[in-house]
Amino acid sequence: METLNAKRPLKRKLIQSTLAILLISFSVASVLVFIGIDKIGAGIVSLVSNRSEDTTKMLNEFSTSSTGRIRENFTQDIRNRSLNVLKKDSGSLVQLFQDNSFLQVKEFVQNVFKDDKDILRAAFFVYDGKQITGWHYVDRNYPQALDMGTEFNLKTGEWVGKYKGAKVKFEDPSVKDIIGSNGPKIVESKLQTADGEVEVFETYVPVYQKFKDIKEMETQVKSARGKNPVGYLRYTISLSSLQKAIKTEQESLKKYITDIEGGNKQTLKETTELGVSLKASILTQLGIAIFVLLFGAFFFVRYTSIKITTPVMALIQVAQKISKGEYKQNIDVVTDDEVGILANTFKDMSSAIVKRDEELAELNKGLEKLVEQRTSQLAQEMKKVRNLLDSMRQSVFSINKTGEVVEPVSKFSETIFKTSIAGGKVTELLYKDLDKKSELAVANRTALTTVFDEDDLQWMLMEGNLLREIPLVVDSQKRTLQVNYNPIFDEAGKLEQIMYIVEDVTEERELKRQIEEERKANQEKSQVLTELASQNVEDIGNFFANVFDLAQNAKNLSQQPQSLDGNRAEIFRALHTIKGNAKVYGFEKLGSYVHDVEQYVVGLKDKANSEQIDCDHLQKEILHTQRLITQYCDIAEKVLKIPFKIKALKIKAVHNDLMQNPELDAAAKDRAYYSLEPFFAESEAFTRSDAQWKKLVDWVLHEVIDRGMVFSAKFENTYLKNCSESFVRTVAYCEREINHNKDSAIIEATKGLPAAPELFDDLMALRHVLESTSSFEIKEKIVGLRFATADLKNLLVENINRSPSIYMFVIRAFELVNTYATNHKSIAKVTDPGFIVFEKNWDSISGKLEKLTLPLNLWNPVKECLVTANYVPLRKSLARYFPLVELTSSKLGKKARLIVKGGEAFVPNDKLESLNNALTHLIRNSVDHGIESPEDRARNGKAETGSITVAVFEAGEHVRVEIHDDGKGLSPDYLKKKAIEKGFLKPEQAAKLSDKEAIELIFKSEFSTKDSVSDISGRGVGMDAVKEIVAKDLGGTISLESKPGQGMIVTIEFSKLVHVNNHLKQVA
Amino acid sequence: MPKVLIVDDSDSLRSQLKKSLITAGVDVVEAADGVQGLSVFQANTDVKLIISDVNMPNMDGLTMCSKLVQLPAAKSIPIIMLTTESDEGMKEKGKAVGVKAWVTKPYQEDKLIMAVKKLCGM
Repeated sequence: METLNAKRPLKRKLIQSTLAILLISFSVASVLVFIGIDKIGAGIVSLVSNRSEDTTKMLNEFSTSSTGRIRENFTQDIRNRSLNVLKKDSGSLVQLFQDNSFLQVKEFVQNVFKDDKDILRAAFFVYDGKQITGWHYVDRNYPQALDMGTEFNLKTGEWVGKYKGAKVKFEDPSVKDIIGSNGPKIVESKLQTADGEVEVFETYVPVYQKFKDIKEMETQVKSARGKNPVGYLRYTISLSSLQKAIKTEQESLKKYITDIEGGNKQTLKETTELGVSLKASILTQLGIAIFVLLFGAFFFVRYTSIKITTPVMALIQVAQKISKGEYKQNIDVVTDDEVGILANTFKDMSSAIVKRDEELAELNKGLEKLVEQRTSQLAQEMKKVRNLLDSMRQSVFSINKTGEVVEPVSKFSETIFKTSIAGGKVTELLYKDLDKKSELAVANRTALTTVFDEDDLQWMLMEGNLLREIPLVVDSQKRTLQVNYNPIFDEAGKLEQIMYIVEDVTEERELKRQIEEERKANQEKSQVLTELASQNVEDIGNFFANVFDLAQNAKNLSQQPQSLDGNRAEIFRALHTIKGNAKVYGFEKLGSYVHDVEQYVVGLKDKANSEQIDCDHLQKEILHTQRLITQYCDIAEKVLKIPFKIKALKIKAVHNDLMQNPELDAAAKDRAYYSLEPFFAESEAFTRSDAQWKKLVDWVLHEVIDRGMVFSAKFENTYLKNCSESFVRTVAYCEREINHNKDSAIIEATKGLPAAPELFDDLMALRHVLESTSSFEIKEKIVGLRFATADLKNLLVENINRSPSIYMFVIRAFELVNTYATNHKSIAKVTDPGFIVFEKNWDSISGKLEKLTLPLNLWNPVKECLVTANYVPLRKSLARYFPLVELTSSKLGKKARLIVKGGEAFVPNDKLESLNNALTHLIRNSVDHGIESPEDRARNGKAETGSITVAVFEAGEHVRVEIHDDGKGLSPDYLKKKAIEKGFLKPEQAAKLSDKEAIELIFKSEFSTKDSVSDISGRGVGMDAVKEIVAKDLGGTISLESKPGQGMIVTIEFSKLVHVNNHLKQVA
Repeated sequence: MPKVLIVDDSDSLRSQLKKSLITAGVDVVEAADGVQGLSVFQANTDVKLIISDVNMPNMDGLTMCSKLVQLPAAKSIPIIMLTTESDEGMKEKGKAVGVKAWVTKPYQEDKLIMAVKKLCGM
């Protein structure tokens, strides 16, 4: 049995506390009892002593009152006696007195004195109103009585008489009172005797004439006082017997009191003694009682505690056994108190536990079975999962915080990674072929470092950074893996692992890529097609004519690495113009591509010299630009059935054919050239401006003319409209040189022209013509046909006298024009404004021509022809800017519209493109930099839609084109600031500039008001390019006027005339 | 409306983020670097959330956060860190100074707004 040694057992505690309580209460009781007994003793003592004092006091009081009473009774008695004596005696005396019997009176008084020893004095005296005379006076001092005739001296208050013959004298103060009284009286007084002073009653009564009885006397005395008394009887009665009685009474009382006091003292003493003994006995008994009680209590408490603790101990033993698992326990505790309840509860509990135990055992048996079942089920499931994992065509695995691959890992993982990956690092397995520095790889890495141990919020934020497609080189084969991720959170919701589902999608991607490429190509085609479809055929022709040439030019320039630095600006301008044209025609794809190339070229500016420039890349980009243009061209040809390129190729083919087979007969050659005729009859043949093409065209024309072939009227018409200006001017130049027989000069001129390949090509072509024929007539024909140009006309007119050949050319031209005019009378419209230009100079020309004796009737048709052929109305080409403004503004989120005013002006055909290039720049600038956003405009109180107005004015041979916009204008201060920042203006210089001069800073090369490159108007405003176009190509001027906040006006002015001379001078 | 403090040296990022936060119903105060961030915070202690860049002139984002946690008013304010790259050390450092979430730049607007709303208890 397990003993229970409680640190402080209940039993001990119970006994200790009970005894302590008893001890304390007894002690307190003892102290109280002790104090109580003391108090009782003291109380008894004080009670006893008080009682004895009270008795004494009471007795004394009694004694006093009893003596008083004695005295009173005595006095009353005396009074009554004396009164009776007086009454009786006074009656007797009256008789005696009336009888005048002195002796009898004397005897009477003497007898009274003798009989009563208490009467100390007796007297009878008369008062006649003057003299008091004693009839008889006797007292104890004079027992024989004084002699008759004793008188009382009223003055001295003394009796004066004789006793036994001797003279005596003594005071008697009572006499005066007696003679005043009219009735009997008793007065207490004192009398001096031989024994000393004694207390006495002085009794006296007046004696009147005889009354019938005493009653009459009393009435007489009381009421009338009518009669004067005859004398006064007086007795002085001693109180000594009374005093004696009182004294005796007092003495006996005193004795009694003394006796009582003695008894009291004894009682007190006894009482005190009794108290002390009582205290001692009570204390003793109390002590015994305490001892007995404590003793009894000890045993009682011990018994009780044993009674309580025994079942508790039994319960504890049972509980211990239960706690050890011996649930089946007999509990033999029979008690009707709380412990009994506890025991019963224990019994219930134990039996409940036993029952539960049995149930549990039963359940366990079932559970074991269940677990067994589940385990086997789980094993099957696991097997299925394993099978699933193994049969998957994906690599499935998880990684933990450290990037380590953890199980389960699907079997296919080995197929993908060609190695067992469990336990490996994901960075070395999956991410090993990533470009670690690439933005995506960095983001992926950042995601993996931040998501672990974080909640789903961080996962959500970073999930997108995890790479979904990863390149991997396996067995030196490039594979593409597609990855899906599944976060695995722990119970606390923190990311514990990431599950990777990796799929090899190399083939799929490749297929997709191909499909995508095809789709993209189709999309591009369809985009190109859409873009092409929105243009009219003639415009498209113009476009290709322009851009092929420009691209070729750029390509040629880029192939000269040694002078690339110098050519860079030229390349930039070419690209910029291509881009501008592409945008104008809405060829977005081409436009944006060229924009990028252009930016690349701009970027080259920062390179110190040509060695640092990646020429290959530049050439590649330009080549691609050409390809793109060709793609546009291909699609256009295919879809629109316009064989731009095919024709070019045909010419090339004919050219090559003829060049490579010089032995061909004339008829075959003729056939070849004639096969080109339908093509040349269309304007496209002439509108393409690339040098290669032009060379071909010019060559064909030379050939045709050289051979004296006659093409259709349609051809002639087209040719006249579109003949190459450069060709004309070259011919004119060369013609002049030929006339001066200076072949060497031509060669010299060609040497100085490496930067102007176009001119060079023309010259070469011309040389070819000149060298291959000696016929002046052919030369004449060639030159004659060029007469259509106004400038050439001037030139020819000016030089008409200098050369017979020129003279001949002019004649020939006139003839041709005449023929032409006759055939096309409907064209002639002298009312055309362009005609005025010609007319203005007509006088000088005609004046000179008059000398040539030319029939004047030829002139009008010539004029008509010239006007129609060379000048085109500006308005038509302005139409293209409407969509440009619309497109550009919507792209920028702005609102703008174009307004065209005037525009009926005719401008030389060859100046039109240059003007258009300039206008494209300027209008785009206005939309991009000038017009504000609708919100800004509204804020500044402007209409939301900005307007750009192109106004065309004509004044003589001058054309003025104004481009207004109502945008924000240019701030002179801002431009100054920018110029200083860019370093081409010093602050002190800037201060000196006027506002107008400051505005014109914008024409400085490379000046930019916008820091970022825009897709719309390229780098900055490109105003230097515009200025160059205006100055060089148009021979005009450009000026700028700005009203900050209100808008800007750009004015371009140029002459309608073409100044060949300027070009010639440049060439020279 | 909960107030959010954006600390980033890029004006364009700030204005873009501000625009989208305001659209999402959040009040915005801005600062261009850590130093400014601290002073703006002290003027706006009712800020419920801070979105900060890591690399900034004058004072970087994590230094700012470490100074912020010393302010009693900022003790429990969640911080979203914008960064291009973050390594383990940076993350731990961030955790110690109250960074509740990391977001890479360029951020995905919808997700960032979602995180802001969640951390603001919206």
